[in-house]
Amino acid sequence: MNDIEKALIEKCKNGDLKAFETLIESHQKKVFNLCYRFFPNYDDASELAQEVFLKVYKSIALFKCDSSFFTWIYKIATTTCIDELRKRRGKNTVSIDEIQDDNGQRIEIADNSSNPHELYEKNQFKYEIQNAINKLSEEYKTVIILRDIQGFSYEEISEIVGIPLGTVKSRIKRARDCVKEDLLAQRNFFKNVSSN
Amino acid sequence: MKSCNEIKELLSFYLDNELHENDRKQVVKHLENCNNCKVELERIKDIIEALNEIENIELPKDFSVNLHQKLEKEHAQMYPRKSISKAYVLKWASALVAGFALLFVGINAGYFEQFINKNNSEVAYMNDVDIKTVGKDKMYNENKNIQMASDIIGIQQDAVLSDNQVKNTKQTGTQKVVPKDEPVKTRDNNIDQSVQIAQLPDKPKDDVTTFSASGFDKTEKDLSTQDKDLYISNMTLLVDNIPDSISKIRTIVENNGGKIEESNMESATNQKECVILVSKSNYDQMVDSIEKVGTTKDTEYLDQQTELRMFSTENTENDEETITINVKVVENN
Repeated sequence: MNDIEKALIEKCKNGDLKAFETLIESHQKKVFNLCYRFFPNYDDASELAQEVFLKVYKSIALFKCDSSFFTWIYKIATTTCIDELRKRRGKNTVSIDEIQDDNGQRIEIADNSSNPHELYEKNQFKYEIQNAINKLSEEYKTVIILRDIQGFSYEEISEIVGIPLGTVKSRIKRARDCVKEDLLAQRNFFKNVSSN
Repeated sequence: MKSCNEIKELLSFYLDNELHENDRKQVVKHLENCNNCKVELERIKDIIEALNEIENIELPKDFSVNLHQKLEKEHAQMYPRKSISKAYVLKWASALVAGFALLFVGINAGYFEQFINKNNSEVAYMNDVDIKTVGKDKMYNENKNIQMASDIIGIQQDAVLSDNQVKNTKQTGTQKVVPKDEPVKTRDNNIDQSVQIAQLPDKPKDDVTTFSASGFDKTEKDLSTQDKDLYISNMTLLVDNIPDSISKIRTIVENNGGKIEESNMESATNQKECVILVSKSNYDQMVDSIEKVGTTKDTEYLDQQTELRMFSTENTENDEETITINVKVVENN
């Protein structure tokens, strides 16, 4: 943690709201995207991400500067998402949404290729990947989002989720296997690779 | 030599570079000769690459605004402003009313004419200061470094009170004047023969008196025996660390026999305020110490207009006159 971050955190502990907003500014997009991967819907993800930052603000007085603030925020974010998953379990409210803008219009992914077929393929497999992740259990979904989408290391995931390193490794492996099996069912997914 | 099933279990860790060197070598060697495991490896690789390529989407346009509103609301709940107690408001309101009433009566009785009429030979005096007047030169309060222009209050050279005026004069608070016959020293301690100032009688212990230079005569019945003069000060302190500064102020107040009457020192705000009550005898020392805690700003000491205000106040245990200081502690940004 750098000195600027430490100074801002101290100010936050004294109730300085402006300092808090400066502190979290660089984390807003990543937290929002984490929430979006759990709940691929703009409104749900936005609502959840704001809830995360409110929780961070309420509990910042308890944060000890000997650990990473970055990891601490994502711990709160992941826990919040998992709690929401459990609330919604069985209610079938997790929708498989396409990537949308604020008006709910599907966003076409910008691509330099002028080939419309390739563009379609790209959008399609992103949709299928998200679909496959949505079907995972909360344990597997959490680790695969943190590892393969958000880019956290095994050690960071262990700290964020609060599980041993060995458990992180085995869950990631099994999560990928689940996604692979789901995508294998869609025969055209794996390019230039013949199935066994 | 590991089997295909054992190797397939290691492929995910192999791609993440999480294998021990020994296991990594075995995987590499196996892949050279096993097409099935090679296909499996490529499938896992495709999944990881596809997931890695998922781009971050932009924040909704109103995300920051909405978050800010929610944080402000939460902040207001976590750090509510301390409401001032009714009793406190009533106390100061009644003191203000009493003060204005006296001012009104004083104006009507022509009491203030002696201060503004330059042809009048009477002299006005400050509370508890040694006034050295040199014509219309500026005066200095050596205790508080208050600078006042003598021409504001119309002090003249050779201005004295007549004996009759002295007899009829009643003194408010602890006003003290240099004796008539005592030579007046200028600020650099040179004796100034040009000024003579009358001496007012010492204030009787239980008596409340007021000036009566021109017939104004307020008896003690008109004033509460609790009414006393107050040195009302307002001070803003800029500090680097609020908790440390508050701790120091508390110690200073305690060491000087004062007490913190009202405060929001305990609340988690970035600006603290308190009302300190201290005896007049310890006032100067305590203020000097508090000023050293930080950098003073917007300090308002007692001045000509406030000296004559009368406020009700609680007596200290020794029935001493007390002074109230409003101290605001602000973090230096």
